Amino acid sequence: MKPLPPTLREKRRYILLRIVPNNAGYDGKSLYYAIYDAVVSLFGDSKAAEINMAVVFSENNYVIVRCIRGSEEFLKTALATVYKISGINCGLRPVAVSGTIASLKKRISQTGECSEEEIVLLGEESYSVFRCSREKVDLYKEGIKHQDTLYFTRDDLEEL
Amino acid sequence: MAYSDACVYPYPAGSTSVRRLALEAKHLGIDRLVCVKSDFTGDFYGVKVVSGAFIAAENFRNLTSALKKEKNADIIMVKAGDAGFNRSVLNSGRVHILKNIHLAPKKAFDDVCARSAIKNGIAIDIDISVIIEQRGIIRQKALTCYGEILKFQRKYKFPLTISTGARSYMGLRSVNEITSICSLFGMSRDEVCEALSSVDELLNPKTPVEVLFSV
Repeated sequence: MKPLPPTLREKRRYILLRIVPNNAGYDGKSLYYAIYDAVVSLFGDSKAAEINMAVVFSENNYVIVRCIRGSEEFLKTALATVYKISGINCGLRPVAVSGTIASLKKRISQTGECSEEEIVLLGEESYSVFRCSREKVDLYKEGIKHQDTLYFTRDDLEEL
Repeated sequence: MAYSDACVYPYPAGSTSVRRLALEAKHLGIDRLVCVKSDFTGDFYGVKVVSGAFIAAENFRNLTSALKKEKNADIIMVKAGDAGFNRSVLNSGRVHILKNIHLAPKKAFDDVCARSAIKNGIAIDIDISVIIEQRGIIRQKALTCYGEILKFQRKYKFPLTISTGARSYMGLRSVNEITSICSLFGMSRDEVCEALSSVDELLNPKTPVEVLFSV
């Protein structure tokens, strides 16, 4: 079909989202499917078509999602119901809404990589410690069937 | 006005420590967390943490014995059951929140329960985790149930609480996100703010003025 001329096109809005936990490493495709599933299950196909959602940018812990102007609130509601991407627990935190992608990219803050530091014992299990910021500490345990992750703070580790 | 998340499960029931939950809650605009199955209480990163107990009893006799074991909890939550059980719970005077009302039978909450709730200052909990994590008929039934509870609340003015039931910090939601989710069953922003701040009332219930000294 011939694309619509610019004057007939609908205005769009872009939402910047932060993905938690850090360094989950999701690709755009898995993000799109997770968000699309949330939109369709909550509002149905008709509203999903009206919202016209698309993932336009995904890098590190940030993703930019596009929608039709006026449907931001519907999309934000659907985004609040995303709790798993590719079977892994996660959360999407809205940061800002804008009319251009460029202005949202300016708001992306560079977060440091998680650095592996040591190994701690919690009960009888040993966990690898990844320090994500000054306060936040993630503990990973590689199991045979699944990976067990705990989310602590520096003070919690000092108390152990 | 302090906004509270009425039920979270920190480590060891969940995967996130109380401090990490408090840190995330601070970023999301939540001022108080009610932590179930945790002994941690206090103030972490400016977020108040109070202890809570969740009791799922089959009948009122079991509930009474369970209540005796939970004397240290600041907030006591009881899983809703049939209409008779709910009326007994709401008139017992030792419970703060009636939880999981969406899992109760169809006519479990009526105008008699609503009157008892307002008389005894017991809140009805809206658990948004079912809206976030469930799909299909379960979510539809929960939305219908919460819509009906909201209609009762608008008429009888009993307190409502909102909980995320988060087992990790990713399960927490900001005030704006909670408002968006609650708008699905017709709750306005003012009603959400009132519900988020009703834990204050449960911790410090209004009592008649007591004269301690007379001159």
